[in-house]
Amino acid sequence: MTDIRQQLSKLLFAGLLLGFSQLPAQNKSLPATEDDYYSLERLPIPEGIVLEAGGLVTLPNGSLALATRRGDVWIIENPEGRNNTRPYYRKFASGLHEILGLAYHDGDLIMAQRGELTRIKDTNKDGRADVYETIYSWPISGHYHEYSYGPKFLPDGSMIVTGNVAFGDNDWWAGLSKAPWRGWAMRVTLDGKMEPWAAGARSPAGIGIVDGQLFYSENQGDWMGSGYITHVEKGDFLGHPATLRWADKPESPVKVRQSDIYSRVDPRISPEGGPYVKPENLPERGKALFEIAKEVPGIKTPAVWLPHGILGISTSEIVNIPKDNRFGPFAGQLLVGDQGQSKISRVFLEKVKGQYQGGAVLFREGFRSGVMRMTWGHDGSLYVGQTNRGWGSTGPDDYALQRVVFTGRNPFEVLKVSAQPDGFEIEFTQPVDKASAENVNGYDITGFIYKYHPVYGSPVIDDQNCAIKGIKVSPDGKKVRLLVEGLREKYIHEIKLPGLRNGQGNALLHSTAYYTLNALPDGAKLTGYKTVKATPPAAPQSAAHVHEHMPKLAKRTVTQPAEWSSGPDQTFVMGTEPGLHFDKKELTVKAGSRIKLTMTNTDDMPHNFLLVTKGSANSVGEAAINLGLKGNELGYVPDLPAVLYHTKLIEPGGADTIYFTAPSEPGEYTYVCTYPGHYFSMQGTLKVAP
Amino acid sequence: MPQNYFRNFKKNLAGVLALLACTSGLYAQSVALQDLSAFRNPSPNWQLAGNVWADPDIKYDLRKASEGRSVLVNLPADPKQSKDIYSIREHGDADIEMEFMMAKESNSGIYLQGRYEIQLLDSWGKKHPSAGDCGGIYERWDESRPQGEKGYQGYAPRQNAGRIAGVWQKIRISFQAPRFDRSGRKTENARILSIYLNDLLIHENVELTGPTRGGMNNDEVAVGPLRFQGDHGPVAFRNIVIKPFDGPKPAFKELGYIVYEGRVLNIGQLNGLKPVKEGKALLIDNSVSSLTNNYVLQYKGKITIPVKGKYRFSGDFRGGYGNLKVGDQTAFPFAWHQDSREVELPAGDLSFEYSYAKVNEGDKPGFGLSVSGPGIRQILLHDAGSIGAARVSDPISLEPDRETAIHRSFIEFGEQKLPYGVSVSSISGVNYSVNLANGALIRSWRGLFLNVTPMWLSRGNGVSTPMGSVLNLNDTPQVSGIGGQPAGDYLLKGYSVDDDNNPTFLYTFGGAGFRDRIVPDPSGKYIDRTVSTDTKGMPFRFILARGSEIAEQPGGLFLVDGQFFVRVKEGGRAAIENKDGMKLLAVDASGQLSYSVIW
Repeated sequence: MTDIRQQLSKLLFAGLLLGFSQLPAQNKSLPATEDDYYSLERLPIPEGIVLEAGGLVTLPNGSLALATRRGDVWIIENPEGRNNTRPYYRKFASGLHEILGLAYHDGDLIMAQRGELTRIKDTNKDGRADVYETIYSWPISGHYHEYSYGPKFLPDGSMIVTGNVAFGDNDWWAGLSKAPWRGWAMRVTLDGKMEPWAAGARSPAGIGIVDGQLFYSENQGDWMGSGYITHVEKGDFLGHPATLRWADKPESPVKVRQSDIYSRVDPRISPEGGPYVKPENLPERGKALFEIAKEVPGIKTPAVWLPHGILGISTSEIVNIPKDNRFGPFAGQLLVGDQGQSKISRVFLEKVKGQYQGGAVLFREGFRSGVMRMTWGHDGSLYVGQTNRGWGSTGPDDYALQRVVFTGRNPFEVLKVSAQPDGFEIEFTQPVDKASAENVNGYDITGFIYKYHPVYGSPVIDDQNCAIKGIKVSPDGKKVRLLVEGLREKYIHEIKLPGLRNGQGNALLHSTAYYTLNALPDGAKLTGYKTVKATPPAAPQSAAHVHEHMPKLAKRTVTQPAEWSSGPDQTFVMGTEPGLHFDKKELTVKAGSRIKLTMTNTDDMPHNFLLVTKGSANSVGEAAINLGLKGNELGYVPDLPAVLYHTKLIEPGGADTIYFTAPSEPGEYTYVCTYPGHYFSMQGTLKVAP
Repeated sequence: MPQNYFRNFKKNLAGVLALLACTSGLYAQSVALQDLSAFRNPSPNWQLAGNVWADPDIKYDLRKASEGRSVLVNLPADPKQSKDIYSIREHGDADIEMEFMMAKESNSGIYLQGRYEIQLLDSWGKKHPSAGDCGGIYERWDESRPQGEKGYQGYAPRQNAGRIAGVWQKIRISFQAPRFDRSGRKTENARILSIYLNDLLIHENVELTGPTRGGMNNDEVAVGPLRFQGDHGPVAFRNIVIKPFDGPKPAFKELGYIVYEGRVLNIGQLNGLKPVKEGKALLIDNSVSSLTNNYVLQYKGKITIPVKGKYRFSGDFRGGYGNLKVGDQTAFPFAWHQDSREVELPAGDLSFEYSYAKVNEGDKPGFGLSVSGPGIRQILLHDAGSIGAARVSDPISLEPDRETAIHRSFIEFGEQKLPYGVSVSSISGVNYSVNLANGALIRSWRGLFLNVTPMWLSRGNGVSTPMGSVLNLNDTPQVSGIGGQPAGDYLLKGYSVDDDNNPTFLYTFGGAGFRDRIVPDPSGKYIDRTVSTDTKGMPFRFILARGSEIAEQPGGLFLVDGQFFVRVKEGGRAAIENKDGMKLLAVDASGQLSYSVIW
């Protein structure tokens, strides 16, 4: 409900902007939006420049350097466009191979290309690179998925670069480390010495240095249940076992071996020559990564999980919010981008019993393309370089450069969550209304975790509600201490705060936090709290809501209805195309005819097929995202009358066949994939002829 | 045997000029030309030779290098007195392939059926070729048309793929003859299905409405001779192969299908499945199955093989297994996903059994079969809808803009994928690629630079491909010795660029630094390369070229495999050496070496 209200308010707000210049930010009658606090400004991009951001860094003079996936490096002068002036794009370098990282060092730019770390210099100072120095060239096999990222500088002046695994040829879903150190972090010195640093990454697109420590971000995929960020120390194994192929080389600091993993989790590798069978999720619970980590020393579990489909689907850049408060109340915290959902999450970290953990809250969504790279401008705003080619994104543009500007207003937000020996302490950016804060029904805490298996992504497992037994609000109203029962170490805890209000009676801008509780701290238990007991929630409204246009068949009918004795009138096989498309953009059927439709997924991410009423694809897509934690289990099919028929959520390499009766009313209907991040581009039209 | 035609021919009749002519029932036989008897009354300007050479710097200078029977050469004492030559064998539909060598400024042509001329010319370096340039489909001529319109329907090649006089060039023509009804009325125009000049596609699907200017007759016919022009200057031909496609086609007889439900992972499981549907068929068609996975579709019947010989079957069985038996031959032995194999078949009605076991859920079903064989172009034995159509996307290309373009990518080179490639294009239209993993100059080409669609469309595969006619060189380190010792390990240091963005590659061998500057000639004809050591005067050994055959010609030119010339400009004298059955062209240089690659 909150989310629908937010969407509505966005529309209202857009309308109001036409007539009013004053922002009604704290007006109780109009809920706040992200725009009130952090506005998005688009930088113009000259025609002909394909600005697919792979690397982005601020130069000492305030210009930006932006490296593209097509291999150009642009210097963007005057990015702020102060006093109605325009940014200027200068081509600094070109011809590099899929640049996916960029750093500035001593007057030069350093970047990871496909196969090497390259330092480019402008020795004659004419604004154009004239020396392309190979710092270090690493092994690759030549597979497209062998992307390389970085560098980021460690405090000792050396650099970290990371690399993706490749995929198999026939078993195209299986991450493989075809050349040494693929799926590893490498430490490289400026004079070209490389030291393998850590193994187990699958798609480590984001590297962050936090308090001098290395962090990296990961996407869901095979062996990766969800996106996350993890603290990485030398010798760590992070999860993808294909990378352990090189662990016994003499220069490897990693102690975990492939057999340590494969003896505990069946990798279900297809035999050479076939049949090549994609591993699918098995009904049994399986194991979580932390359970393997208990048995195998050297495995590092995530510091903060970013739940899949909720806080993202393809985690990217990690940046530190500067400590100077120019960007609002979150100084010192992290921002983590997401390419597929065109959004940024905010992460707060703490160290408990020697290990990092913390929580994540949505920070800002609605970017124009996939959020790939971020850098702080001299004006204190955050520049966001974006691309979605071949990867897809909720934002519709192929590429974009936007900046996030703090409007100066203080949003009502969860500032941070910290673990306590017997619960959580939640700190807010504004004092809370004490009555709302002491109402236990305004909270909902659920613990859950993901499977560790060779299947793409994971369902949520072990989800369990936690009871709140006590609440204590701090005298200044900015902190709420919760006494919670049923917390589990290593689990993610979804903390929903729908009932919290500030002094003006406004709800939180983002009311859900996801806290990864790696360890409960020692210390004093909570005293002096108000004892509370939640009232049981009302029975949910019946899902079998009958609508007059409701079709007779169930929305997902997987066996041919008995009365179809002569079979279907028409049979369709719908497939996928890379870049978030159905392979057929239009189908034509006769009104009321019997349709058999098979949806096959030859892509490397999950998809579904929903037939919806005309004009409702976007709202259904948004409703699917708002299913939150339950989304995966429900196949991202929201229970809405606009959804006429649908398949299950189909994993890469899978298929689903449904039977349905075409709508009796002729006209155009839409089919859409509602997997998070897909609905905007993955649509087609079903024409129903009379 | 058509599929192995070229190979067998070269093996069995190596060095012998041959026109492979086939008559009905004798597709597998070839006729070697020990003399000029395959041609109609050849005039004395047409002779046989063992080999020839041409000096690319002297007009019309093409000579016999040795006596022999490998090469057909036109050596006109007086070009205007020389005549064309016509084969006795006549052709209709055919693939025609040959190599040719031009003399400087010379002009010749290949007349299909004696009537439709594909122009041969020394068009080396010409930026914008016309229909009258090498590879052009020569224009038609009509005196009754107004001035300026008399010549019409000439087709310029898409790009100039022509090379320098004195190298062997290759042309491959797929020709479809005009069709006539029983009364002799033309029902379909002749057609150039494709022409590849030096492996570059320069024409595709060009309709020929009638003979081009200078055709032997103004009529059109079902079969006609192959004719070479001999009255406009010296030219040589070798390895001329005509592969006719006039044979009767294999066809199904009594074909039927059965669909079985079930998951089959080995050939033994093919038997004992429950049939769910069966019927008769004319062609193979997957759409008879309403299942999309875990089924077997089996076609059984007879196939009429008109002529004994080798047949190549190519099959698609997407996401599953295919098992094909023809007569007593197993063409696909329960193969995965797709296969292509050649089998020797007798003539007659042979049993035919082709099974598709679809097992991988994620693959869209697709079941197809095509065959080529003696006297037939590849024909489809499946319904067009049995396999999904290929996706068509908008291509993306890359060209230099005002300055040299540098582009790093994966490079497909022969069977290999080189992950550390770089390609460079100058505004003069000369392009080359270097393998940055060993410093070798691996290929060069003129014309358009790169097709980057495979790399920049969607996720891409990291590969870009040349859009011109490529001269493949060698992917072997070229610095082979330093100071009399083996060169040691290669290490890339990067490159610097000049004001025009021309790169100088920097690398070390065994720790010794080299600067490698490759600069295309401004006229767009060749490339110059200068390799120097960081240590002044350091002796090093450099392999300019490797090949099976390297021959020295006047003017300091070395012809490598008949394909390109190398000329050392400065820094040492090139010498031909034998090593492991190969020829090397090596230079011992001190500090610096400059040479050109000319093609």
